[in-house]
Amino acid sequence: MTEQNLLFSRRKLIALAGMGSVAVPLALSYAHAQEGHVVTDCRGRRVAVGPARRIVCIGGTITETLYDLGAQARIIAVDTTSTWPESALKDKKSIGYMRTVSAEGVLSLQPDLILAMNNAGPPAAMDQLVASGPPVVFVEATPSVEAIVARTAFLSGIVGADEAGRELVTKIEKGFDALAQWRATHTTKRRVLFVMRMTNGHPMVAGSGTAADAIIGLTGATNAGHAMQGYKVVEHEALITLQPDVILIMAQDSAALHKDILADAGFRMTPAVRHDAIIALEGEELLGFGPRTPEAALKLAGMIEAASPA
Amino acid sequence: MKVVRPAPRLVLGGLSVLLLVALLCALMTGATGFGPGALWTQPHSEAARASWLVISQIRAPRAVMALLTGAALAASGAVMQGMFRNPLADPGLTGVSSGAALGAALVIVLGNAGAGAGFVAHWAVPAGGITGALASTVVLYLFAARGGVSSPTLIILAGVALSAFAGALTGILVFRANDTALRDLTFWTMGSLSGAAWPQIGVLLPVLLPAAFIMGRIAGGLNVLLLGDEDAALTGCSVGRIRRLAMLCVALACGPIVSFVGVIGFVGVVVPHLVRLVSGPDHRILLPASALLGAALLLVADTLARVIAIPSDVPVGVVTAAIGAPVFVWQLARSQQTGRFS
Repeated sequence: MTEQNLLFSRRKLIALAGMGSVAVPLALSYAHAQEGHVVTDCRGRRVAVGPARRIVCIGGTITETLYDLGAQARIIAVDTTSTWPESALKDKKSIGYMRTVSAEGVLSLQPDLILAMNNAGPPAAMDQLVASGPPVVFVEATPSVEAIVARTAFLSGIVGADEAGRELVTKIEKGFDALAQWRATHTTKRRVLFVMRMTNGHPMVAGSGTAADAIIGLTGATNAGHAMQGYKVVEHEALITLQPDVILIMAQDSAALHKDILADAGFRMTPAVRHDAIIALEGEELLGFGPRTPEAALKLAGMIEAASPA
Repeated sequence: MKVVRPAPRLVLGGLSVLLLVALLCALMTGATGFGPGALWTQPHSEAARASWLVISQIRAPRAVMALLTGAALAASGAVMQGMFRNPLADPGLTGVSSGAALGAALVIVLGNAGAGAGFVAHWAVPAGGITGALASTVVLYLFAARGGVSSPTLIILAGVALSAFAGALTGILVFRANDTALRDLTFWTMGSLSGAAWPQIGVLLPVLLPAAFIMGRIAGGLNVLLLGDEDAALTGCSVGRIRRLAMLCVALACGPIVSFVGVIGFVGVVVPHLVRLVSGPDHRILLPASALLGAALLLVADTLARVIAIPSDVPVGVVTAAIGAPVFVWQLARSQQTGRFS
């Protein structure tokens, strides 16, 4: 569909830029914004969204959702957390890591819409983006079931894919229903500990209020680190008292981390390591809280059960 | 003014007892509540096996690491203060801390994957730290050795400049870091004994022993240096040689330590002062006494750091500063009244 449109608008932009004025493309996108509809983003800002033909996605969850809505052709660049679908980082330009965004780098792509997770950063760069012309919409970043549904509906409204949005929301809700059924039939509560990393021998684990805590809760298991707030370094001996049945890590650097966990005296005395119950899932699938989350949670629930039979 | 001081033997003996008590406390306290009790009552039970594992594999390496770190930092602090005749000098002035921080930050941020083989992941950060510490000491050493004897003030200022420069480079890295690397970095700059394990202690000992040996050799020389460079030289003392040896042993003692545990402030500056308040400025007593008190202090601080917020691990640098600073001010106020600290 939009291939042609995109080409056309790009040519127009290039032609205009070629006429010797840098301000023109910005003015043009501003004009587009004027014709579009107005949305209220999660910070309560009212933003006029234009035709959104050159979108920059800051946050893997946004990229994933737009792809699922069939709006991928309108994305021009994504950040490095956009690991799903795998083609995203290959086909689109990369603007770097979502918390170390460079405002100038983003603006150089001449986007007509910037969609950013609310926790994107650094704050100064976000402020610069907001101040510099193209509409910036901040998207709620809470890791919860309600937030996924709200996010999907919100994003489908922005790209004008209402029909696809409704379908996707239905699919997500069905997924969560299946998950709820799974929880109802599997009542053994295992203690799962998410270990983020162990650089220099410091085991950093997920406490409450984290995405890892939320997805562990969705599987019906208990987060063994729930007593702590946020991501914390745990004292090695206290690892034993947390009594995790299963240890969950991210698949990205699982080999080294797996080895470190097995070598650690504290971890070795937990039920998880005694029963070799260490499982790994890709980070964005696990912690992204996008349309994939219901399936990811169901998959995780199965992995937890398989790793630690009752 | 004639000041009555306790006999050196009494001071060193008392501090040894204090260290022993601190060590026992560290070995007996922990999140699991395992104590040595089970080892006596039912030595072959499951509980005894578990307590033995916890004590020997988790608490003991960390306690030994705390002991070595406290001793190395405090003794190095005493050497630095003696060599520069400056009460504010600390091991960081040789550039070891900032150099080590820069080296470790380089590894954490640029090698951010944190991946690689387990061996690399385990040793890369300390290796970066040691390299950084040695590099900055060598730079400062070359500066100090240039054209014979430099004034202590000049070396101190050069050290401050070097630290500031390394700090700026570290700042650039912090700016570039993503948030996982940033978490590692923050934790590292606050200092923590959390990563302590026996293999690291095996690496430390062969470096710390020669450092301790050199300190023993220069203790008398440092006493002579207290007269001032000119007068010391008149007594036939080789000021430049003592200063170079002092820098060497401080770098040997602190570089690897800082690389493993991060930056732990306060111990190096304050412990020598506390010892001086009691036993006077003689380095032959000051150096071993500072080592003993530093070791005991850091052991106590680290035991607190482990149990204060179970199951989290509080960075020990926070604890040393929070406890140590008020104690130090109190000591200063007391010595003002008795007129002893001057």
